Amino acid sequence: MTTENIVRINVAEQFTKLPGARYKNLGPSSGEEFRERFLVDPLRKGYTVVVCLDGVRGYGSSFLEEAFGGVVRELGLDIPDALARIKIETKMKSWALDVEEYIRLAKDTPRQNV
Amino acid sequence: MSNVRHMVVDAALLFKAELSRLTQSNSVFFDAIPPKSIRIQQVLKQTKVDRLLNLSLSVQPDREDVVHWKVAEGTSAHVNPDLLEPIMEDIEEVTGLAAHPVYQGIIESMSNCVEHAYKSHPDVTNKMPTDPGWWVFQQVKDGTLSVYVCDLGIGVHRALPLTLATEHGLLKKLLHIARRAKGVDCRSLLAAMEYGRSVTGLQHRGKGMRNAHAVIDDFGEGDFYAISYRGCYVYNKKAGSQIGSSRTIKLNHSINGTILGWVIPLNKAAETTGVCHDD
Repeated sequence: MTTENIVRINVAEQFTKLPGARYKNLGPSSGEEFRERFLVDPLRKGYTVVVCLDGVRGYGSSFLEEAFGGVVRELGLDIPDALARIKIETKMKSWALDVEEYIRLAKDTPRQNV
Repeated sequence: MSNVRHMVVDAALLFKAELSRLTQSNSVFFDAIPPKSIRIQQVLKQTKVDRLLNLSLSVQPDREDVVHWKVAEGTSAHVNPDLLEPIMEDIEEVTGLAAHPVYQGIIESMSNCVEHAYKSHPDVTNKMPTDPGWWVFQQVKDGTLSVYVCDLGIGVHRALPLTLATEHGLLKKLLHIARRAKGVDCRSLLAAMEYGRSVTGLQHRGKGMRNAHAVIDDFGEGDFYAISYRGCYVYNKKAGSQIGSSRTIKLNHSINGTILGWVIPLNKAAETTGVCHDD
């Protein structure tokens, strides 16, 4: 893999330290907004994205699901391809596991929060 | 207020929410007598309840058991995470953790409030608050961090059937699982928890109400409370145990809203072991 094929994204530095809700219509700094601004284009072009999740106050699972599960659904990515091209950097083990789970389960229709 | 000597954080939060509703929706004007207790005066000032009561308090909050009461509130139309920064700053100050598991609980509760709490329902005829539509209180006391999120919406037992309107069979199954709990609110709370668990089969992990459990599970120990109208659900996990225990309590009186809360010990760092890097 060449460096030209890798896009590095730092959530705290490039997007927000206070990630918000799932959808844009629920408020600013949403998972949907992050997906559209940072994930869709490079993954559509076949790049690998390396996303550093650290430096924020925390994540709601809706944010992570809509960003990472959502991009798999939007682009129709195969799960192995998505897992290979979406790389997570974080000291928080649970965030990395959550993202992996959301990618693996992305093809299931997302349920509403309760 | 003259004889008030104690204020409990979740009750104080509900007090503030109800005062906000009355002043906002019904244009009620309050004329209160200041508390004799300086500590209570400081709490009222710190939580901005004094403004709702039209109290003119000259005291400045400086007591250690008062300055860590933090408040956030926002409109039920949007989730604005920026409003949480003062709370998260204080949590970082007292815990040393810039990212804290409680954040996911708060942000998901706010989302839940915006998405579900204020839906129209034929049983609810009182005017719903809009701005603010959710309230957050945080307190540090006796070595514990307490964070509570409140809305004055339709409650879980009315919101759940609306959320699962297209999955009536599922709702029936969930309520059947929760049938032994006393009262419709307790049964609905249990059903909501069970709904969360059923998404992936992983206990207490995932969306909505499950995020609330994840706060405690990620941290390793603590209590999670969900109170909705006359139902109360309590989840407790002790340090070192693999799973937590839960129970429901039917309350004598309705709180006419929903409160989600977490009580977490301060003297422990969250489980952040395991660093993940790209290949």
